Amino acid sequence: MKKKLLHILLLSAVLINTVGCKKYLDINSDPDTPQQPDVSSVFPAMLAAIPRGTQFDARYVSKYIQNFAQNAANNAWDLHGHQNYPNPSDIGGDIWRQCYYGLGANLNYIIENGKRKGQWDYVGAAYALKAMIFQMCTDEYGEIIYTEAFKENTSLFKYDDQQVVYRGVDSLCRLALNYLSRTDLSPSNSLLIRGDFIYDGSNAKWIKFVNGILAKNFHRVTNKSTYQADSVIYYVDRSFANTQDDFVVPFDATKNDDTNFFGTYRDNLSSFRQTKMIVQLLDGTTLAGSSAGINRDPRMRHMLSASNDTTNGNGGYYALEPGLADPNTGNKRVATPFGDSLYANPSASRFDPSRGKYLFRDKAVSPVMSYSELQFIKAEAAYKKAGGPDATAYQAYLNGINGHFDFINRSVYPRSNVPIYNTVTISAAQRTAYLASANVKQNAAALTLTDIMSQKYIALWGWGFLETWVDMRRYHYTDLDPVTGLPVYRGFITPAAIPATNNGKLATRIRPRFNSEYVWNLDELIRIGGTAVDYHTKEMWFSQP
Amino acid sequence: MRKLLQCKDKLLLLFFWLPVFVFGQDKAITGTVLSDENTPLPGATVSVRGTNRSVTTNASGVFTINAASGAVLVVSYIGYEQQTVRVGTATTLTITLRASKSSLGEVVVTAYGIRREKKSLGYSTQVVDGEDIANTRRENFVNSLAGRVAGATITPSSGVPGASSQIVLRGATSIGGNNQPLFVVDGVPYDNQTLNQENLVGGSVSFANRNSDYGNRAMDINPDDIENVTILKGPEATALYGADGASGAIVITTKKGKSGKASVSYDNSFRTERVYRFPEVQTVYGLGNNGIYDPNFTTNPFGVLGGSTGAGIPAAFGPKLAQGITTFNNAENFFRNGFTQQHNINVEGGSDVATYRFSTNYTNQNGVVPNTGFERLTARLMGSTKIGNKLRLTTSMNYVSSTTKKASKGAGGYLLTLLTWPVTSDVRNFQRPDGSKIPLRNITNLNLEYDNPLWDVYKNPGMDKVDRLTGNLNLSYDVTSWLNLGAVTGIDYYTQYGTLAVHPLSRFGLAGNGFYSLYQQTTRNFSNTLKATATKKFGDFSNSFTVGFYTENNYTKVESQKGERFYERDFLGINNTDPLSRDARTAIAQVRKVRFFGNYILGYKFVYLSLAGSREGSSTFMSKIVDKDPFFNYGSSSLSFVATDIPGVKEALPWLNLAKGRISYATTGKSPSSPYIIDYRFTGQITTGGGFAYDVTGNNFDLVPERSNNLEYGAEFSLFKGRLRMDIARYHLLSKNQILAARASYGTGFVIKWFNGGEVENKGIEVQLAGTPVETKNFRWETIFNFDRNVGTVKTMPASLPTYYDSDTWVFGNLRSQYFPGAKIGNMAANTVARNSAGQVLISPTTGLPVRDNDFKTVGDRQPDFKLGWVNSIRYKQFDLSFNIDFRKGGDVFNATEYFLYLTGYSVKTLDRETPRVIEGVLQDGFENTANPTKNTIAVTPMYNSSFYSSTTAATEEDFVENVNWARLRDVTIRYTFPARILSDVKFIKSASIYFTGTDLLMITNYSGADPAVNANTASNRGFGGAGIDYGALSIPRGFNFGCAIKF
Repeated sequence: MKKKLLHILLLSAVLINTVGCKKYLDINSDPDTPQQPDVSSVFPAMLAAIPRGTQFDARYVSKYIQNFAQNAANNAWDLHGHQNYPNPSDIGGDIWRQCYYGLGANLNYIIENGKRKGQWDYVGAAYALKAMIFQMCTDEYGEIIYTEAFKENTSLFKYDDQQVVYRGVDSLCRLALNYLSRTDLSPSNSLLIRGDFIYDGSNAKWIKFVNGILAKNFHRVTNKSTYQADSVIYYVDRSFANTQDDFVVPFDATKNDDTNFFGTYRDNLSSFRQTKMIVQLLDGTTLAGSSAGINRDPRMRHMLSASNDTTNGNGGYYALEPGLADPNTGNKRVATPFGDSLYANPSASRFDPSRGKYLFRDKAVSPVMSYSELQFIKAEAAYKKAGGPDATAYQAYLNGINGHFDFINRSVYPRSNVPIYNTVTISAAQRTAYLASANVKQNAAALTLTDIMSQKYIALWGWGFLETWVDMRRYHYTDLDPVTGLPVYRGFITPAAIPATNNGKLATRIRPRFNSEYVWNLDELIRIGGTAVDYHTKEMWFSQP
Repeated sequence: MRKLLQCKDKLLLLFFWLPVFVFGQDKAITGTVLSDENTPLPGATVSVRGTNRSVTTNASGVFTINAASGAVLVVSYIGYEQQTVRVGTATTLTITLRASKSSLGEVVVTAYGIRREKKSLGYSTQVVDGEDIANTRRENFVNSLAGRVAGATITPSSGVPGASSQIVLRGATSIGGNNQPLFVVDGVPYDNQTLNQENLVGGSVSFANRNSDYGNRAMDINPDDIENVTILKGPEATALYGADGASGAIVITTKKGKSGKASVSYDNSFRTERVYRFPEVQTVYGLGNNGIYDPNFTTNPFGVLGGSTGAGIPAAFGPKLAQGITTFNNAENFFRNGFTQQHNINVEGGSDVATYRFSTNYTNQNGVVPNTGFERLTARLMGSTKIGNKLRLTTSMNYVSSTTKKASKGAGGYLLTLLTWPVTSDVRNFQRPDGSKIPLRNITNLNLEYDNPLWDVYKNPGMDKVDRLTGNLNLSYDVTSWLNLGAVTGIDYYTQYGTLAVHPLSRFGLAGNGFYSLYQQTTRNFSNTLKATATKKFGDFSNSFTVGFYTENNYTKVESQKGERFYERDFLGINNTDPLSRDARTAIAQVRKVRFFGNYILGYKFVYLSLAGSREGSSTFMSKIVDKDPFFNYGSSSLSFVATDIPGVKEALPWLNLAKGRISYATTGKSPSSPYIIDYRFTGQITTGGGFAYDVTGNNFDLVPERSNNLEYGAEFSLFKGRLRMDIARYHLLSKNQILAARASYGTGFVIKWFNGGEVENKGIEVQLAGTPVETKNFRWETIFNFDRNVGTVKTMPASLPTYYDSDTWVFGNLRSQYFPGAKIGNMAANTVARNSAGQVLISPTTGLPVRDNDFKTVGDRQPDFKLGWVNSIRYKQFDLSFNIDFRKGGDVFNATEYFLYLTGYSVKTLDRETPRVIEGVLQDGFENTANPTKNTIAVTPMYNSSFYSSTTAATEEDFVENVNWARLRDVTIRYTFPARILSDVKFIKSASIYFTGTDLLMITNYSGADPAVNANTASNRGFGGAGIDYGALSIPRGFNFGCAIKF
């Protein structure tokens, strides 16, 4: 009896072990947060994660390219330095963060789980976003982790050369196109429209977006002999057809985290001021030779801020030169980007959708890619292909300018975001007058690279920082146009006080994120020379011949 | 007193139960001998006084003996106090023996309540008597273990009421996991969580386990209920507890009722407390900069007050204070005398069949910091009964209710602000009659300075309230004389509710126009143990075989809310916040474990072999996505060799009572301490469109159990009839496959990632030397030395990480708990001054001050060289004196408080500011790494160049790392017990005593700060934690207790 009892006890113990226990233990799922959400729940967060990268880093890139300058003197970024390196700092590291964490790993989740459940539209869109963010990442930092990214159980990640990443982006785009074109979607699972608040689940628009990424990917190597202008034109033609196709990320503006980083509430641009470069491009000085009223661009009053004092010869659009602070006082000071005659943020930490200007409002979109931008890419590609002025280039140039007018005039945005024009749209008459002005070349033969690149600079001002930076680096900021003998980028001011450690060079890359690479992947960083004091001036692969 | 005497008859009726004696013929008496644990004592000797009749109990503790009514039975068992029982009319008896008090006791409680003769153990254990703990009168009993246990490191987070305390046995083995031991009360795990602030909703006030303390829940144990505490240190000792016991176990046995007359006892304690150790501040120089008076000049070391222009601490870089100027002793005006009262009532009694004990404790503490306090009420009922001859049942219920009122700590907390409060300003002027804040400087933007300390403690209050109910049921059934089945079921249920408010006019409340946080934590833990023990002796071979099964189901839910933007400025409550600002969060942690265990002990004369194995399954390894095996195995073996039991040895060496050698080897496995880390981890997004995205900490499908291998060997001796005793243990512990969440390259796809890997080695030695130098009728002196030394080293890093740091410990400046391959487990890394290739300090050619090197380099190790506790108890006639001195040699402490004072001009180290100096070093002028660097000749007079102090380059964190030794007089108790003859007139009083206890009376240390034994974080911190980082934490106050104890 007693022995039996013991036997029963032992036997039941073994049984419980193999059968019951595992079931008893199977409770390792968080009851308060899903651990396997549907990809449609993850996708919206990916769209919102894009400006978290682009706008955060724009605070620095925008100064290198002179979209903005600091209202105080000798700002490190204005002077093409790198914020007191080697002091530990994560600034300028947000695209890095988003490439791997904010978007990267999450996109992998969408791809894996989307494939499992036949949600091909999500898979395609996720590949598209992955291609986009890796393109941005390599264009900002150069050599990055690509082939070894997301590897498990290691903390050592090898960097790839930029050309590897470029090829990778190309492959990601092919995958994206492949999945986006599939029509055998699983009907039982949620469709892209559920999570996609930008294109409302339109595969056709996503396909255009992917073609836009490909166009950029192919276009960035204009200095190389292997440059294929035809491919660029091919992809642009399959990309956005008008400004309604633009990829813009909207904001809900109900609390800090869902509000435009560039809006008044979040107060990140209070010390940012418009530069001489953009003011002179818009007031006619650079492109038409004078800022007489007739030459002033009708877009200026929508994009820039006028000061109270309007006696400066261009309607009150004062500007800063990089590194020099504001020499004026009182009404002659440069206004903040938040509106005319405003010298301080009108509603920091307070929601007010009526405040702000252009893209610098709480509930204004953050654009990622535009029709106008792609037309300028086509214009440059055609110009390069023809080796000079060309009809295709000219038409694309005009499309680009018109596209940007349409961009400003657009009145309907996803999630009821507010229009970006200033009170009223630009009238047809204003546009016609501008297109006929000295700012715009009147025939194909007169077209120069400066025309294309300057108009592109205007169209991308205030949002397309990385694209403009790629362009300027391709022309090494100050390259001369062989046709005119003048700099392609007229009006760019080489800062007088470049830090000595730059050895006279302008910045061409941002250092990888400090609290990622300098702390935990240092060996690899040393291998590529990332710890050199002038690493941020090392030329990028894409701009090299 | 006289009144009491008059009603003594009534009291007699109340308290006395008089047995009736009947004398008669010899008869067979059957009885059971139990331990005070209510477990049977096999092999106990029962004899009839005055005869040579003697028997021993069987495996179930049962005996049968012939005795006449009125005869006296003498029951004895090694390691227990002898007891006598008069035979009455009953023929069945239950005799409960009390474990004898010697701290080198003969029988110890091991895992799952398995009682083992100490000589059969292959590892070292230590027992601390409950009375010693209770006598310290400390609210948090963990603190009373300091110095009493070789190998235990106890770090309270500060000296305020309700502060948490961290305990680590034998050094930290896990660089990113939990290193605290398992607490077990009467066979049931006792939850010792400290609320993790990161589970609450932050907002304009951030939560990183720095600015508030939530207590450690083991402090809910009423010290007066503790019979004794067994410390199981190495993995072998706790192998049966598995992952939970991998960092050791604190096994608490509570007091049980004794059969016999009902007795009532009452004791109390009244304590005053006083803070007596402060960081010294200079009062020679006043406000200003570069020697020029300027009350509005501020410094903002490391941007502690943010980036706004003018934000900072008013700096004391001004001229000398004028003679006769009114100054204020702000510390004196801020602190108050703490006062605590404690009352304990115990009632116990019972019959042969059943016993009970009821105890209640009330504690009310007013802290030395205004508006802080701690109040606790505990009630415990324990009953034990016998059903038939074979079944015994013990149940207990325990209720605890406690409330902690607390103040903030760390940056912006009251202490740092108090220290930097100018002596020319009265700290008591903190608010206007209308309740608005008076800033120190005449500023309107209150964001620019920290709160007045009194403002802080009154206007930014925090509160925690705990209601805890624990209960357990212990069944023991004797199937036969050699087979016992046991079952233990326990429930541990509590809710902890707390609030934290930041006034809209406070520095940290300004951004959000007030901040209010509230949370409710509910913890419900169930556990069950079933075990069968077979004990049988075959000739000289004794066999004991235990198999068992254990399950636990632990559930903790934290629900928190926060709101900002108060409508009513001075009203604290969530309903007073803007609904749009409110956020809520739920965090649930559910963990289940199952464990099969077996233990076989074979004894042959003088050798004991023990083999144990466990198979454990943990829910934290389960996955819904991949196929994971939640089970893993581990085991142990040990050998004990008692040389003095070899026939002939005792005769040859009569002075040698015990000589024992022992060796053990054990492995343990540890599952992840956090649930839900195997599968994907998502968090809800509040960005446009909402949804979910990966948590910053990445999951890992591939995690495997942490492993540790432990080798321990040692020896025990007892000489001269136990007058001199020694226990030596050496151990070598290797912990592999550490499971930790570490920052790494974002290439992982995450900011932080769960990794497996790395090896930490801990080597150490523990010696306990105890002696009774004097023992006469009237005078007895017992003394114990507890020595330990542990060296923990990180052999390899997990996943080849170049470094790992704990960001919670990064509280001030750039110093943090950080590891590199080969680093010591207590490693601190910080910025240092930059040096050239020859190691000379680099000096800036423009300022003449050193250049800061922003790399993190090792600057110290917080592990002490050794610790030594010296416990004494002296009895002289009716007086008992006990005291406990705790020595520590070595171990680094970062005096961040002093660094803070230095950077702001309040440190006494800045008093020589008028002396010009040239800092030894070479100029960073481009020639620094050549053969002929330029020697620095730039003279600096700090008085006129305050950046010498405030620039954070002339002195770096490294300069404030101190190697600390201390001797602390921890607890002193003097007790006078009234002699029986005095009390004989007062019949209802059995015994009475009065006592004085002093706590933390004195510390002799080379530490320049207030108290080196503090923690910058709370006890919830993982890894080595914030111990040894002193930043704005209050020193442990000195306490004087008076009280009396009466037993009726």
